[in-house]
Amino acid sequence: MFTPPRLTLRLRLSISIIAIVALFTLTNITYQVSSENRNLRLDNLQNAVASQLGIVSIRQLLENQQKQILVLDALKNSEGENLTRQENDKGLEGLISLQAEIMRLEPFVFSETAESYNSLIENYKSLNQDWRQFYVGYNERRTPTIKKVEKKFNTTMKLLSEFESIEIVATEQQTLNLQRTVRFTDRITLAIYLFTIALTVSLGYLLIRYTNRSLNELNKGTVRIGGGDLKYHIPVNNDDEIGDLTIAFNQMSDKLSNAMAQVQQSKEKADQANRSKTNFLANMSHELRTPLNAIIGYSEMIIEDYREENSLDEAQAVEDLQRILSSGRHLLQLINDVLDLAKIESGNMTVFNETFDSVDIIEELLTTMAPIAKKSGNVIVLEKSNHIPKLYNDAVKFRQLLLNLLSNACKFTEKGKITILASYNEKNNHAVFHVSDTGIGMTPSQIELVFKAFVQADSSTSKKYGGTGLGLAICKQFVELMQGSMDVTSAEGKGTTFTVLLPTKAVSQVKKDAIPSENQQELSLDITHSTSVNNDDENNANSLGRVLVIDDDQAARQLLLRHLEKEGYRAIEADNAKDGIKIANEQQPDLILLDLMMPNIDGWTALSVLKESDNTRHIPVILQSMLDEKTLGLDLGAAEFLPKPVDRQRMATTLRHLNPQERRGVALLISPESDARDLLLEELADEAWQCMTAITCTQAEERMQQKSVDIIFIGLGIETETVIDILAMLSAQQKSGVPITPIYIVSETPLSKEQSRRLDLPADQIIFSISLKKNNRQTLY
Amino acid sequence: MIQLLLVEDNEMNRDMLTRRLERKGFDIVAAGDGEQALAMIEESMPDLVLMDMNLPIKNGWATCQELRKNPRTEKLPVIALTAHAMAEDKQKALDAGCDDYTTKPIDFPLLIQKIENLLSKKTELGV
Repeated sequence: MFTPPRLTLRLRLSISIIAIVALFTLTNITYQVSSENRNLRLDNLQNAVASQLGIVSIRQLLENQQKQILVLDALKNSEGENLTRQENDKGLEGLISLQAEIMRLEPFVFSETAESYNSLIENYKSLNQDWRQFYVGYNERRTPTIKKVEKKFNTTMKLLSEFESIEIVATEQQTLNLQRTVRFTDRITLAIYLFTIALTVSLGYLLIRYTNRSLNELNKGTVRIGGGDLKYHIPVNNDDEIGDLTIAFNQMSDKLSNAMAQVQQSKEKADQANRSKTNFLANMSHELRTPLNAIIGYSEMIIEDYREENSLDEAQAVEDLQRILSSGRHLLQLINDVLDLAKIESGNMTVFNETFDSVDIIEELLTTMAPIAKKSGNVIVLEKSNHIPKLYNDAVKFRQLLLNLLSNACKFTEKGKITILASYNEKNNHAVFHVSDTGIGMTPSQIELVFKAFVQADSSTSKKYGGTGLGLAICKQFVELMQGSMDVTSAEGKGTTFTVLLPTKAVSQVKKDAIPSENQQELSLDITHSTSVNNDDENNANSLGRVLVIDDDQAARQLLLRHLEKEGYRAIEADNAKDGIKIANEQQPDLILLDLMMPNIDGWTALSVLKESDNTRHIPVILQSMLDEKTLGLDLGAAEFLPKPVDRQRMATTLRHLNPQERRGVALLISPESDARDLLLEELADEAWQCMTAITCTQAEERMQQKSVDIIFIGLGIETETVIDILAMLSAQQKSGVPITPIYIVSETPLSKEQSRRLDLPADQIIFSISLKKNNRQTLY
Repeated sequence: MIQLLLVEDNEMNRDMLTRRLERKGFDIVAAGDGEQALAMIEESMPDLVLMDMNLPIKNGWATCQELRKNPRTEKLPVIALTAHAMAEDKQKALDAGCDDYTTKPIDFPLLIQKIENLLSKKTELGV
């Protein structure tokens, strides 16, 4: 199929130029033709003149010859004189030149005159022959008769005249023809010339007009689009470069328009988010103010009672205090919930997947919920439709989720039945939990809002039933974090059923950037924990260390044990101070967690016993108490103080900090026993050094053989001689390949010049015990 | 004795305010929702109404508008009590016809002052 080529601007220009050049060439050719004809005409004229001149001269020659013949004839007859040879030759020569003259006419002969010319030639030939005969035969008097010659001469003359007249006519005709041709070619040349001019002008005009129009359209469109009318499309009139440009422009404006729409959309989204944030804040403020009103009001009232009336009704006061307390708790719950939500929204809520038995957790929850259910006369029943495999998901969130759903069900149900139906869908590997109640239910419009933060079915509901209105919003978010889904069905007055679908195996997805480094550490600790669970007791190599927990409260002890195990420590427990001290001596734990409030021997006493004994002094003790005893505790030799209740994160950090396995190294202190030495030991232990002591040079050598030493302290009453011995021993060791150990001389007074010289030590290796505690700590780092 | 009608659905807050106001020498009658409040006003006219805005059945704004429509209760002083603390919430209460507005948690001395202000204005007008 033939497709016409695109009439591009380039093509248009090319065609125009080619046309103009072609016409120009044509003009040139016609001009050439006409000038050739002109030349031809000129030649013709010249020929005509030449032939006329030739004819005239021939006529003259003929007449002369005839006259001469006539004279000769007359002479022959009258005197009978012979021709001299000279005269004879001259006559013949004249005949030859005459013949040559006639022959010269030949080039001027035309087709029209050829016949006449031929007969002229023939006649002349015959005449010439007679004339010749005349000369040749003269002396013998054998000449043709003059009459015959005269007759031939006359015929020849006549023929010459005839030829002349025909020649003139023919020449004129020829000239006329040529003139006509010249005129014609001239006209053609002019016409083509004019046409070329016209074509050039019109082509130029069309091109300018056409380009201008397209550019104008484009310009108009650009101005319009530039002015903000992104919906405007520039009409594409031509399939050429400008057309392409226009299409590109239109595409650009389309893209721009789309981008603008997107920006608008995201702006709207941002505005929406902003509005809901503002709403959330307003609601938040409202929700916080309501319990605060009660707290402040009742408190003020009690103070008034006490101050003004001076007659505090104790029973009334207790009742009011209970109200303050419950409002406070409500407030706390609210704040916790809000923080949970914020944490989820900011992507900081992490999921810790582990394998757990969902049914175990539900059964445990049933026990927890029993008193609450009983209070509102409800019964909670667990039904299992089939075997539910263990789930790999976040157990803590699962527990909180179901607790929320159950307490919710209890809240809105009176004297009814709450059913948990657990089942397993093999097809898609999901565990399904239905929590149904026979309570007040919800209307369809209430169902729509049930998972929205701060929305309870009715504001009066919250007042009647309590709750923050955030529980279900959190539940929904939790389920989504756990890669499950949650739904609700309800009928007003009949009850509500919440359905939770959870995958049996959640895919671990750690969003690294969303989790702060602290949590990552927690996560990695969890991993080490879960791997060590399998090997548990026999594999202590993986354990970060052994921690002794001394606490009389069993619940607190259990909690600590769980935390410790989670963090990867092996825990040893003691329920009183006496046992604790004994275990510390025997088993040499890496760390001790000591509760201060204990019956019989309290924590303070235990601490002093542990710190007094050489055997246990090096073990860092972490004190625990409800009261802030940090300053006193640290003064008495504790390594750290942790307030109760225990913050798991803080405890983990403290343990890591004090764990001997992460210590700086081993320090050897060569010094006789003294208070100053103990102080230094304590100081070193605090700074996480593992300490060994020696009194003599020999002992020091033994110690160094037992364990590689990272730093050596000498001093505090050691004889200078002994010091020199030790230094000698150390330099001997270094020579035998033991790495160089930094040595510090600890002295209460600056060394004398003599001592310095003998010890040959650089001055910065000498630290003084007097200033040890305050200023020179940094030298130990 | 000056009688105040306290409309408040939160039991704790109702109990607390009733007792505190009674100590200041006011006679307090309390209602739990807007309908109940309107019924009580119909029965006996209080000197002033303290009204929570988030009420069940009939909320505070609607209740107040109704009071303003009735010629009998048109001039009855109303103080809005609400936990909504934004500026537009205050305007919303005033637009509904409340004479004054106080935010929870309640600044009690300020509330007393507001009550006294409105009551003295009422006596000045000779209502």
